[in-house]
Amino acid sequence: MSTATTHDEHHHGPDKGIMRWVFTTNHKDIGTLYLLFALLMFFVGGSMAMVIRLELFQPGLQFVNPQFFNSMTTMHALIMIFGAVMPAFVGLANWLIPIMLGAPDMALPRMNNWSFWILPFAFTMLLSTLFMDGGAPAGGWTMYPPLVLQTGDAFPFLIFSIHLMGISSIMGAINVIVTIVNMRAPGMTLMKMPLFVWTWLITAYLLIAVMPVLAGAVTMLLTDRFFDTSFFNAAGGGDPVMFQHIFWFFGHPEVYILILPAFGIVSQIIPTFARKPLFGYSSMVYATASIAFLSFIVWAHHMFTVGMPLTGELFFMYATMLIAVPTGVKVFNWVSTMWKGSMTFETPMLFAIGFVIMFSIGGFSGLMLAIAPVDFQYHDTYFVVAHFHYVLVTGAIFAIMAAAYYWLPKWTGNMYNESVGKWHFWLSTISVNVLFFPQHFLGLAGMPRRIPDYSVQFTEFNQISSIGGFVFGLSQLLMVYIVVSSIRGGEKATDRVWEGATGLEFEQLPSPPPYHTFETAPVIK
Amino acid sequence: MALGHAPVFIQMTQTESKKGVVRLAVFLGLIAVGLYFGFMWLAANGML
Repeated sequence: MSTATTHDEHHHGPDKGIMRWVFTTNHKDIGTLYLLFALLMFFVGGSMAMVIRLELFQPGLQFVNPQFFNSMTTMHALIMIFGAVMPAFVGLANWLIPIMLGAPDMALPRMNNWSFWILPFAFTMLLSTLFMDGGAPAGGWTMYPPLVLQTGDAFPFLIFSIHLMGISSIMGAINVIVTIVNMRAPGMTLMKMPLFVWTWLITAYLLIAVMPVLAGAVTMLLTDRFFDTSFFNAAGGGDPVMFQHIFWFFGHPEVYILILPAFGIVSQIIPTFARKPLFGYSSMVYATASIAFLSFIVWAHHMFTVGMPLTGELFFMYATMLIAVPTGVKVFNWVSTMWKGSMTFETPMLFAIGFVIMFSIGGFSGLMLAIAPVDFQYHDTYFVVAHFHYVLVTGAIFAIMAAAYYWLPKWTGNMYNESVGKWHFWLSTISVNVLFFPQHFLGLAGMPRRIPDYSVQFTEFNQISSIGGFVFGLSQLLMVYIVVSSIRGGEKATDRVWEGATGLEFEQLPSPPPYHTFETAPVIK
Repeated sequence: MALGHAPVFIQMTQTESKKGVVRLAVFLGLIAVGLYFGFMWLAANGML
């Protein structure tokens, strides 16, 4: 008897109680778990950002000691990157890829369950370091030796938690690739796939290529600390700069892991609310692939100041600038999609447009940082902090918010409160710019990053930035209200949800979709 | 669907085979493991 036949005979809905979530192999359940976990981590990491902004509200040491401050910056980054943004995208992938492709589930459902349930253990382990002798890791999320080797009891916990996060990501990526390659409904050719699926396919390849490299780098840190190896110890014949090369060989593609699915989300949302097909679909696919390829040959722009040969500096400078070309293709395609469209501005569209504008600001400051001699001035200043927060907050996180508003009615069957959604958008957009834009000026004026105290001339911009930070943090509570109230009830969503929505999830599935979908493959024309 | 009586592989109604799913998953997993040990081997032998 085939597996398929057995499955049919046991067709049923979800189990009851907590065990439904512990043992679930359903892509929708696992997607929900990932998204809720990401939301929780977003607030944990966000509360650490509040500590940072509180301490920086005025010069001098007010609330925390420098060691704890450095722990906050380190943990904030690790939690936001590996705990909030990446799991949020994996959650969206779980929910959306099968229903966008007409597949009944992810290809490897048990591994899917395992991928998720590793994460709570990884982050419990990481957060437990806050209570250990020597405090939580404080050497920065980049974990450069020899500084990181001075971490106290937390060090092996940090390394093991990163290994667990990596294993989870790799298993998730394998599942995504196998699902997309093997599980598409008949007629769903590669070039008919929604762009969100395309961007995730490319992201999954990036994950498989670079997460093992990070795992190797941190394993070598572990052996340097506990087993007397000298990979990164100059006194033993090793090279601390080699760690930076290996780390950023992971780290730069990681940046694109954090943004490519966001490109996919925006490419789904803008055509819906512009009521036009996406302009330049195939060029979007090729641009995504180009960005992924280029991400492997630009890593040393993070370390222009370590002392590289001029040829190296020039190579990495020009290669980095080259990324602006496919990224520009994408931005122009989004604008062209909106051009002469019959546009409306519901909350998902507002977040998507906010993404296009503010991600571009982050892109432009990235171009400035790509110029090697200029980077010598900006390196390790608040200009860099402003740059990557424009890319990751108004980029990745705004796209995740756009996705949540766009698909929440499909997931829950209930419309969210549009006026609260708009309040959330405008409060977030104004406050995030108050938060991060002045940091450009601080960096240009020479304020270094990762310091709890600063020279008095930086006070005003830091105060403005902190006020923006507090407002931004508080406005995110509206998101929680939206999610909870939408799950609990509200105006019923139609099957299509949005007038201009296209795709299998809107055209062939009710809102909310049944627990099992596409057990019979849909027909794709 | 409880893990205890879920199929290891999801119902296959599409154009693929279970064998194809396993082969691709194992292949990708081996690439990941190879990169992990490969990078450490290169570093240990002074080739990075």
